[in-house]
Amino acid sequence: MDKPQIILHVQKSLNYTVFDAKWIPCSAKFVVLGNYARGTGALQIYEVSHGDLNLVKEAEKSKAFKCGTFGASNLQQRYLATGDFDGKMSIWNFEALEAPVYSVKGHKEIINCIDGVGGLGIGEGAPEIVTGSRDGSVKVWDPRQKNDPVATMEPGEGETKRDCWAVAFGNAYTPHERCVCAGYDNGDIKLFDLKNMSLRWETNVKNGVCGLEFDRKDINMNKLVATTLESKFHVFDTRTQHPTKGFASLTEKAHKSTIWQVKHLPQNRDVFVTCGGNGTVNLWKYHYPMNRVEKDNDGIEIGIPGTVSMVQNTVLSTQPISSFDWSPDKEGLCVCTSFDQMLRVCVVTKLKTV
Amino acid sequence: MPKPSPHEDKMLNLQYQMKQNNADLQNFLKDLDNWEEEVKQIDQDLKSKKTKNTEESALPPVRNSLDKKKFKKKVKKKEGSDGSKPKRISSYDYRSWDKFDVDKACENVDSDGKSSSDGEYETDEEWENERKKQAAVLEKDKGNEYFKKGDYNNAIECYTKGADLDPTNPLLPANRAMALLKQDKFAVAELDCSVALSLDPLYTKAYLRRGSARIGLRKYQEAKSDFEKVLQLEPQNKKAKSDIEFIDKQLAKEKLVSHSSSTVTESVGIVKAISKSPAQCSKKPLKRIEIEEIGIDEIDIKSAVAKTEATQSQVKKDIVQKDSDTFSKFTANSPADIAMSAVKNISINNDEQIKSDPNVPTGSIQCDNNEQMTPTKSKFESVVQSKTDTSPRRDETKETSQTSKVTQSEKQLSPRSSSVPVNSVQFQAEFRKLKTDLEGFYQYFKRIPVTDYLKLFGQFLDADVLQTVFDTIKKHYIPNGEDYFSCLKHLTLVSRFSMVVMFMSKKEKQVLLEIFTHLHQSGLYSEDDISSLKKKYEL
Repeated sequence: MDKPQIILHVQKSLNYTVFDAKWIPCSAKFVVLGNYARGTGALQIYEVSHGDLNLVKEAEKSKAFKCGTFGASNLQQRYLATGDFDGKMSIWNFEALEAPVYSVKGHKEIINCIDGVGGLGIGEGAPEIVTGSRDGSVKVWDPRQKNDPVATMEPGEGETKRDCWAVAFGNAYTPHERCVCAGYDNGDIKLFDLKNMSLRWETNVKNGVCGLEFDRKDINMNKLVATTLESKFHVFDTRTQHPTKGFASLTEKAHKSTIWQVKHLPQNRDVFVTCGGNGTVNLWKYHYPMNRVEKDNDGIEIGIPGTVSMVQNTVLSTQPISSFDWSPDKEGLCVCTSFDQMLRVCVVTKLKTV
Repeated sequence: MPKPSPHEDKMLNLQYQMKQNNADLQNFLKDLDNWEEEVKQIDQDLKSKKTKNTEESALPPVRNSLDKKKFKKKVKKKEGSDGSKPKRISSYDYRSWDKFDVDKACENVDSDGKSSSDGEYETDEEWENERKKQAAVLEKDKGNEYFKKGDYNNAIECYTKGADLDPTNPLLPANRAMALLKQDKFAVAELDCSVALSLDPLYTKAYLRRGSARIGLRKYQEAKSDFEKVLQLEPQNKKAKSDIEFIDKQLAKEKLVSHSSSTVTESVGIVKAISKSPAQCSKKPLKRIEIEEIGIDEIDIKSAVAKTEATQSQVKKDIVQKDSDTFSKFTANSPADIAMSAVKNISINNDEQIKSDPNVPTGSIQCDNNEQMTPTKSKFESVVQSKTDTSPRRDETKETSQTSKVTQSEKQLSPRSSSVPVNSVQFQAEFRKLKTDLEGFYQYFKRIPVTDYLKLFGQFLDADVLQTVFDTIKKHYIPNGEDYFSCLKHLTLVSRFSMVVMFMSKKEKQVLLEIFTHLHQSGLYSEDDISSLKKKYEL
């Protein structure tokens, strides 16, 4: 019984479909993004205050928001980058929400996923935002360059365009080392090296990839977690890449439904949660093997996967948990949204004991 | 008490655990409340110190903004990787991609020669250098913006920043030079251009700008060589051509000036001193100047003087005379002085011209003063002019030769009638003017109250001044029977006196000895006084 507890702290019912929630760095506030029934975009900022949620600010925009990130903004500005149903990537200043500070119609269809790096003191190098879209392309943006992406990864002519469901930055441990990982609806996972502008690794996990995350963005790639349809998730040890076999991985079944999200605890990279389509939230701990590397028959290094153990399993909703976000400032504080139009702030106690 | 059954035990344990968990949660929530307060403060602090763009400069350049080539390469690779997919008709695709690549390659070659050179950065260092170069170019563009707006200070600042970031880029110092030129800071501009040229010896604009800077500095020969260099590089450059013409004109003019002044014994130096003298600025009437140059070429002077005279109205002359009269009253030390100067100004003159024309009519003072009214510079120019345009004027001037002769002599006298210097700067200026003219200096020096020496010489008493004083005493004070004892005595009080005396040459000492011998012979002062003074002069 002496294990972390996931406890619902505050919840709030919303009048729109909510897709994403993100803590505003260095504050007790978070921003919620969604879609009003009339098809417009919802952007609300809430503040957690003594067991209550206060609406601080809200705005309605012409197009529904799908996802957002603070990853490429600096701590002073804390601009939010969003992706919307129209394929537009925008950057918002909460002090002046009338118009975005940056906006580009980057994709032909909905932007499913977004990630940022280089801001908030996380990750070396330029601030960059990556977006993945239903149009099959993954584009990397630099807020300093208008209109054009700094890098584009898209299928070649004549190829079927796969819906990109998840993107994640990683490996940003020097100003120019940087990787983007993208997961597609057919189970493809592709790792692009932005320094060399090449595809570094790819695999197929058979089921559509809903969530992707490196345990840390700003270190030499360590672990990558990919969650999929059909209640499976995969953990790749990305430290050691074998020329033919790629990264060693483990597969785990959980949630008995689609696993929508994976989020690593900012204060401990070996602890992460997965969010299920059945409204459950699982807390996991990764255990490294005794040796992470061995030599294969040809004397080439190959990674050894570790194991994961479930630390806690909690049911929060009857509907899928669409997003989950750990507070970067307060260990154990988190916010999640679900498709029952609910917003929940939870606390996870005793995380130190994991 | 009976031992609890395992079931009860489990219940108790569960209850305890729940209590524990509850306590943990309560602790967490309390902690959370505190944290909410703290983080609010942090949030506010962050908001208040907004708009700091400090980090921006340290950021790497925008990815792939240096060359589009990389972007293409990536696309191709991606293709290759996707090529494994069964749906693709590989042969068809490869062909189309080959085509695609060729186009890109061509485009790359056309777009920028630079892009090929900086393909990949192998090390962090190279990468960093590339970043700095980029930043320098950005600074340059910013500077150019400011320059266009006419904000040269900010432009210079941007160029400086850029030059710091990328010291190998010749554009930055060259552009800064341009901005400096606009501010008339020629010397620095010249330096910047030289820097730019050391980085790129074929940079014509830098030669042009350095040429302009050197014109500003009146280094005509060097400027000319710069423009000639430009013509070598760009034979059609109009600016260089016109500037060379300009320089040639200037050089010709300069030659004229230097020629005229070289014939004059006291040359250019005097002219300069006059134009700078504080007395000039003060607008007091009696400050006078370039008598010496004019003295050389009689005809020229005559014509110049005649010209000025002719332009003076009678009324003006009257006023000026009145002015000068009152002024001389003020400036003279004593009535005796006035009388003396009146006589001496006329009679004592080692200039032959004046000797040949000893009786100066009183009216001559008039023209002298009139002369003063005209600015010295223009007067000098008019002299030069009259020299260059030859014949017609001369005829006129001959007729007025008599008067002009008079005025000329008067002119030479005039410095003597000038006021007593009030500060060391003024004295220095006037000393430079007069040091070659012992007679003039005598008149001038005599007028300075001995008690003023300390103030006047202060930091400036040098061997030159001292020697001139000695010479003056020997050549003028003694023949005139003037008393110079107090003068000598007060000189010893000047701060740097002993130092200067220590380094006196034999020749100077000889002069001094003669003076003391005379002093001794005169018998006006006691032996003790003389010998103590002698000691001070280290004799």
